[in-house]
Amino acid sequence: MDLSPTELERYSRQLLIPGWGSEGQTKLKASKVVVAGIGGLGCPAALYLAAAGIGKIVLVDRGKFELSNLNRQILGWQRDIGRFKAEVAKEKLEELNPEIQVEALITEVTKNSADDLMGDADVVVDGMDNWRTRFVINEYCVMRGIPFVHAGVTALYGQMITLIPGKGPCLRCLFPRDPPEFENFQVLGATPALLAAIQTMEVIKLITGIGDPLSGRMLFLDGKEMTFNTAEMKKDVECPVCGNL
Amino acid sequence: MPSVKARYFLGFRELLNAKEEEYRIEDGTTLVDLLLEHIPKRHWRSSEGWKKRLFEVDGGDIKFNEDGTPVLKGYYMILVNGRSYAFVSQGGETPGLKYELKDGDVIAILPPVGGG
Repeated sequence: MDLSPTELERYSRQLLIPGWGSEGQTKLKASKVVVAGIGGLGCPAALYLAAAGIGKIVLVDRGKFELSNLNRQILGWQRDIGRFKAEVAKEKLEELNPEIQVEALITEVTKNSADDLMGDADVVVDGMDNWRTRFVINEYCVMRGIPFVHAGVTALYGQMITLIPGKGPCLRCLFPRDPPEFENFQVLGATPALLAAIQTMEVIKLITGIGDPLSGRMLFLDGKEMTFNTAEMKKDVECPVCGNL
Repeated sequence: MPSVKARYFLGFRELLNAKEEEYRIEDGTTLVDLLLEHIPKRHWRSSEGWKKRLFEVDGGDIKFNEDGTPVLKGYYMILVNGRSYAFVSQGGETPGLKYELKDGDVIAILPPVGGG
């Protein structure tokens, strides 16, 4: 898979990064990344993944843009209210970067649909706003050996970790019981944007092999005090989801 | 007398109206002693809320494991010096909640956040 002259120019500033080059860019071009949930995390993550040249981006979301989404779901603009998020996002990402393929899937991730939605993904990005679906994705990614880049936010706080099956903990190791769900959680748009940018970095590092992923360490953002801390998190050998790996 | 720091985040911070505080403890005090006795004793007005939030409760009473430790809600992150308490080793073992606190330890208690 070669890079065209326009691709070489488009990505020229990142091709300069040591260890990247056309080899790294070609890996991105050949990759498929699923963004599960096109909300406060998924919108900025999808934008930066598209700009970086991920060859195929799959956007999964069954929802439509509402006015109250627009403080953080930055692919949704005033004119897009009432339209499906995945469709709107696809149009804008293709306009941003016509070199890539974008697929919009207007559906929900369930145990039954997981294989169709994520089956041949290289990485899955967590753009969900609920734990129930996150655990469905986690189970599927563990079963198929797909890295899952988790993030969650509220207000000015966030957490994230890159979950690599067999190499570090899975989501169930970290949370043996489902955390409570909150509807209409409080959030400043910049909080998921910040974490989505880090999620994008993690995806790109995983695909290109550059650097060390945030595996086995959870990152905590406290935006009020503006601190970033990481804490060591290990795989639970008795985890019902990944303990046998 | 050894002292440790407890750091609270999000809902715990609001509940106790404290971000970080110091506890002077006797030798041999464990993590469970801190969570089950020292913190609720200092924050006695919020002690019921603290216990209900952090531990599994049955009819108002905290549930206990066979080893005598209370059953934590399975989704809070409790860190000992930046590592999950469940994996901190001491004397060749991983004592979990029975970890003996040492002078200067920092215990952080965080709820997961799930928005996106």
